[in-house]
Amino acid sequence: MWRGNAWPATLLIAGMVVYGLFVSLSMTTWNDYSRLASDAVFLESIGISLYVALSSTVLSVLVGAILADYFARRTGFTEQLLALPLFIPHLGAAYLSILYLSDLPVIGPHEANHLSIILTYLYKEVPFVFFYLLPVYRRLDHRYEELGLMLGLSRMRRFWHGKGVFLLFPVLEAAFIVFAFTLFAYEVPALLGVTYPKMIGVYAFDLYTQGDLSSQPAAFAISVVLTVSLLVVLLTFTRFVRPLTERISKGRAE
Amino acid sequence: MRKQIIGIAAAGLVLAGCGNTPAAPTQDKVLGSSYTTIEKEAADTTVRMYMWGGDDGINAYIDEYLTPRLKKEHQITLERVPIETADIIQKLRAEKKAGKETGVIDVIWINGDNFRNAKKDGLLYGEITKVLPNMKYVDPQAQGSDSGTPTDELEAAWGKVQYTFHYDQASVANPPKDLKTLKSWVKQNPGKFTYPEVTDFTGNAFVRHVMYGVESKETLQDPKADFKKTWAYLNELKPYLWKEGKTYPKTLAQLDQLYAKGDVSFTMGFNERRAEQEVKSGTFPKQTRPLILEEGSIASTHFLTIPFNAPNPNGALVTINQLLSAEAQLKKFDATYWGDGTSLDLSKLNQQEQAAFADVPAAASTPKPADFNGKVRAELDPELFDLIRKDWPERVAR
Repeated sequence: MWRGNAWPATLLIAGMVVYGLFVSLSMTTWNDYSRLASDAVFLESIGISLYVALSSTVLSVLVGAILADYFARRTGFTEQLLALPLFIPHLGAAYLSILYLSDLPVIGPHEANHLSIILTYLYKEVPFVFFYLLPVYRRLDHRYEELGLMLGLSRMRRFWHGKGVFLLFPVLEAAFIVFAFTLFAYEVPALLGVTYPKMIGVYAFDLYTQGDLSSQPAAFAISVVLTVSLLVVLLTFTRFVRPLTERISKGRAE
Repeated sequence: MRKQIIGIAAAGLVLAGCGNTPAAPTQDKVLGSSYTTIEKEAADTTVRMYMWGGDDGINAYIDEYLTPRLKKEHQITLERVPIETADIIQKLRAEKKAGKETGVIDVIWINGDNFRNAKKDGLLYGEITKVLPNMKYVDPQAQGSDSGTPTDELEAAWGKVQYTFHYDQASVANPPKDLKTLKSWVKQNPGKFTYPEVTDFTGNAFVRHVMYGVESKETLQDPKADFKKTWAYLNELKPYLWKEGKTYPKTLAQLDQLYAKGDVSFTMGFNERRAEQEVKSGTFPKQTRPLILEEGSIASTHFLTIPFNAPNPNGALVTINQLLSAEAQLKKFDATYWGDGTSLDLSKLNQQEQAAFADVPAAASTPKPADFNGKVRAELDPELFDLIRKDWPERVAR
């Protein structure tokens, strides 16, 4: 695993997020937020975005983890094929699905069920999750499971103590990255999404750019709400879930 | 150690100083000088023209006609940057706010609410048309106002077009004549008609044509009115549109693709001649024909302007002047590239030039001048553009 100095990148990214948050907050008043809460167009947009982001996340983590589990026990180069989609940007993947999914009923682009968006995200995020989890799977120590077998633990508890504890946090990390990205991304839903309801990234960008400036505070308010919610989730992960898994793996808790 | 740090910092400062682009000449100096001086200053410079890039014919006109011409006659290197006009305004606003005195954009193609916003926020260079010699040919009617906003010499009329529908005669035997027959055609041919969503310039204008057809004169004058007849008409169409109206093409380019593939039988847009080169190149169906609704066709003038922080205002002025010449306008009118209506008052040109304009042939996809008799409508208040963008998603698309 890479153990370089992550501080410069962390500082740069944190600086951008904090500055962006500061600018957005200074452009909004309390009214903009309370108006959002009763804005049906916004609420429907959030609903559809959560549906797309959650389905994409759950499916790509499941498929990615199963593939990582499978390939971790083998040596060879087959898994390198999965790296191919990583070289195609999201925009390119969206055009691929316009090319190949356009004529499929129900699945094609501009369908209300957003299957083409979810498929595009799966195509991009499954390899991401796979390569994120592969080293974790490779480092799993199978003797823990054997020990569990010797001690006569049930299947569930054997899985939990042998693999689950070590996998939980990396899986949550991968899931969080995929979720945060797919929730607020622009290109893929802009190309494949429907006119109404728009996914939140597209809706916010439209509010920000169109016509006179009058809708801009709403766009800033949306970005603040999303950023803060994601930060809260992140904080919960790092403050509560990680210490818990560490304590379990050291045998100080179940 | 400390000396080293100071040395590095000093080197950094020097480098930063070198990195600054030379400041653009001041606005009063440029607009106060004669055109001959401007031309001289513009030689051997680069001009960056930011414009909507969604039409191959328009792009070819700039790249294949204008660019070599400017190089040859004025030693100007032209770079065309394709971008949505609203994004240009957004960029300029940000630059104004950040106090960026020297930007990157020299010439902008603009009109309608984008011009209104740019003017309101002080994003334009100044009274540029005063110094352009070719302004004397430009039709004062077209030059006077931009969708109701006085131009105040901040922009120069580049072209004048009419909103026109195009349909494929092979699949539309009895073309509709007005909004009422359009509605019945759409109901009889479900899935074969749609319009771009209203964030798109052309889609927004389609809704304005419906407004012209179904709303009273008083309502049209009042941007605060409830346009319920318009929303009712559009909602009646909705279930019979392409994809049952659950989604709309995001841009005119997408609608054109649907029309080219034969998924829908109609397309539409500002510019009565825009189908000519698409038919010629085989993109649009051979039997593409024009349609002007009885309720009228909105006339639209589009303009060229220079932003407040143009790095090369001299080059920008020469470029705009070149585009207003009779020769450049004739090439633009000809359907080889673009087929765009001229902004010039033809009676001010010499006999030879007038004859050249009259000789440009019109294809079967272009309406005859008489088709517009009594049907030319003025552009509506730009505030209605905003109203449509705000209300249509809730009242129609939802």
